Amino acid sequence: MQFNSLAFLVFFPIVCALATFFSPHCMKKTDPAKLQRIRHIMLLLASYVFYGWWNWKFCFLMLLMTAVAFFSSQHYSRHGNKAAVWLGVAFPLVVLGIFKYFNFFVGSFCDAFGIVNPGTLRIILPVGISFYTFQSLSYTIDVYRGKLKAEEDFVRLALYIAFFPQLVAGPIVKAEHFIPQLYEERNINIKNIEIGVQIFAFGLFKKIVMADNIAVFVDAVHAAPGAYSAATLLLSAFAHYVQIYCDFSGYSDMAVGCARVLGYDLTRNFNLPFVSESISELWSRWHISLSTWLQEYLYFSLGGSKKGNVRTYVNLMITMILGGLWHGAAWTFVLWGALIGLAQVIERFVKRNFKKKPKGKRPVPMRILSMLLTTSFFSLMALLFRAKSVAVAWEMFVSILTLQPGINHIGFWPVVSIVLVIFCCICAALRSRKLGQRSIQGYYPLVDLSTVKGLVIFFTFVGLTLGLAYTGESPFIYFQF
Amino acid sequence: MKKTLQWLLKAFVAGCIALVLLCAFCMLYYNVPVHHNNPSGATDYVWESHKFYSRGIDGFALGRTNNEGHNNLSDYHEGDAIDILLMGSSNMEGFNVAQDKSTAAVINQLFEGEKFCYNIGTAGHTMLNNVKNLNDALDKYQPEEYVIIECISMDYDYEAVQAVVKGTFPDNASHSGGIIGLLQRLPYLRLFYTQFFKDGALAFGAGKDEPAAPAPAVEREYSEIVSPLLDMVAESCENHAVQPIIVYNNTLMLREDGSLYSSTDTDKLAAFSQLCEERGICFVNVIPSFIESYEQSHKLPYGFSNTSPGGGHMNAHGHSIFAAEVCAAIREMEA
Repeated sequence: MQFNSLAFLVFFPIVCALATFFSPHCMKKTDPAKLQRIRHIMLLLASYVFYGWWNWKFCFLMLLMTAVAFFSSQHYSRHGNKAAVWLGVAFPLVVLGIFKYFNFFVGSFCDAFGIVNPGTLRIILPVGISFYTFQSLSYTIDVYRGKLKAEEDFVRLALYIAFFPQLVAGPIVKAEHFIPQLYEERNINIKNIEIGVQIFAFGLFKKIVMADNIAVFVDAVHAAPGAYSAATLLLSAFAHYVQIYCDFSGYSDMAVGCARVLGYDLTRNFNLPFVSESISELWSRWHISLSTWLQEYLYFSLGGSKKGNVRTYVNLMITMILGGLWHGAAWTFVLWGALIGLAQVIERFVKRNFKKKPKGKRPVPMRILSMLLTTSFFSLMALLFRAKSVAVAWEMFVSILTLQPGINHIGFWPVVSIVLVIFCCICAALRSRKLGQRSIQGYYPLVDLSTVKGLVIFFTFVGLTLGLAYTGESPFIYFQF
Repeated sequence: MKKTLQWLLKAFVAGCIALVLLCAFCMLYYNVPVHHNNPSGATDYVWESHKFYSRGIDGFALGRTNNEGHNNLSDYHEGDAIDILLMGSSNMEGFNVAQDKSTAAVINQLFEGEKFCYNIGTAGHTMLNNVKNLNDALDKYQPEEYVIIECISMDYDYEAVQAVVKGTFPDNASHSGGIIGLLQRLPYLRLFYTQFFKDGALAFGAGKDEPAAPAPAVEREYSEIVSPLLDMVAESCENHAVQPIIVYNNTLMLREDGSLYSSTDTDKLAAFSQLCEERGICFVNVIPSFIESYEQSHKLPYGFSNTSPGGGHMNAHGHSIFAAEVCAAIREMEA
């Protein structure tokens, strides 16, 4: 089920109605703790329906992964047996490896050594497996590290892993952030609906107006890269960066909005990456839930920056390469991760050895130049993210550098979206300056829906979203991960 | 309860204001006239007369229909001399390009007053619709020299062609009356309908105008299927002493290496051309010129900056090639 589908339009109000019905507001005489448990069970069932809508068989896989995390953590908690933790960590990784990476590694190995491929597994990638695997790992590791107590209630843990707003494409919620919310009295109320609905609408606009309309242009260029001029290829690179951002951050916004309506808070996943002045900063503003997950559970586990410069660089590279591979089982993603990692290594090296002035005192034109350079680099990397193979990405890159002649197609939606993104960045910069924030912070431009003015703005925005939407088939990009 | 009612009232007022704002936006972004049945039968329907239109989807265009509801720069009054009558689909209608860039307008520019071309191209009018309407169109407009019929497919269904011959081929329906007609006058609701309820409205490709032929129950020779259609064209034109010109065009596709190609069945194309020649119908295939122009200038004949490259309706470049080809064919016939 997708957020921008008719099925969800029916599903979500039913879930909200049930959650409202099983709240202390409606059932004043029932024990609140009992009601809370009923709500959790209802939300868990709803989450499995949401997931099973795509393919019900994989519900059992998610259930199995939850069960392994639950029992291994409990076993470790009660008996201090590290083998249980190993099982809790290894099992999700093995499942992920089989479903997502087995064919890729076997194929690559056979290609490298000229061996006849013994055959690949005929399996489909379960939607969202990369996301709920990481959530399961987060829980087991947090229990092992003593940040969390092993959960005694299976429903709570299952709901944390399967909570439908963030199930198939994140944000990757950490156990220590979400499970405590399940112990609190969280209900649907007017304020949450007001905020949640607006955040959802904001995400919907990003997805169906901006990302999907840009996709028409980007898909066409990548279908026949040899046909287009260097300028068009370059525009497609920038457009694809904006497209991925709008697609994924749009989904994240919708997830945050849905969760908010139900009374839960999900972590922020994007924070205006276009205003980043360095790749390191960009990585802290882009897919924040993944970057912090990798930092906390991988980079720090490898030693982080505490074991000398060289080891820091190596750790960074390993983290980024695995981060690239997380996105997909293809060499394009591996190279993408490696190049982003390399850029961060170079940045660290330069910063450590040559940089003298503190960042805050840099003049505005220099900061804008840094933003442009960072955006340009990430946009060119987006070619790798989208291209069919490394060779095709390289050909496109060469075509840009050699000013290849071809079709000049300056897509309307890519240009409009880029202008809109710049406008939003300026608004955010002015707001951050006004509020005295140290760095530019993105924000949701929420209005007061209890006033006619606020309602007019909101209805007009929703009307524009539906009127300008791309109404063809267009799945979320991150579903494939 | 009182608070809820107050909020609902506010929401209603806000909804009305928002609708007004959205309609104002759509006046420039997507404002299509309402169409109604054409009593003359020259086309299945006509748009409202002297109506401002705008389009920000599948091209950008602003304009005004003429007194008859067709897309022409000038009005038509009964008895006005017309040298060339242009019939066709939404491509010929030309609502996706500036009015002076449509095929009919460019033909008039190329003939510099020597000949006058009048455009009755209408969206949704396939070759079958146009042949069905041909006799009525020639009766009404009495073109003195030529009638151009745009053709966007080489695939025809035997049953559909027979329906045209027998006069049972259905018209494109109009719903200009009642509440539906009233609602269509709100530009935002029109846009909303186009977005979510009208099949294929956003599925780019002018070729969509021609319904795909279903698998035939009985295998028939191509000439057996098409001949009755072309016989009708030849007969109607002979009765009205006018030379028919059938012009073929269709969307083209890009290969990964950048070359442009047509998916048209070349055998059918050759057979169609031969059948036209046998009946004295001038047949013009503009696709080779489209491809040649692309190879020279990298310009595609279809598509706009707000569509997929090469997708969507014919653009100004395509119209100019189309018009030039028609003019060249006319000059060749007159030479």
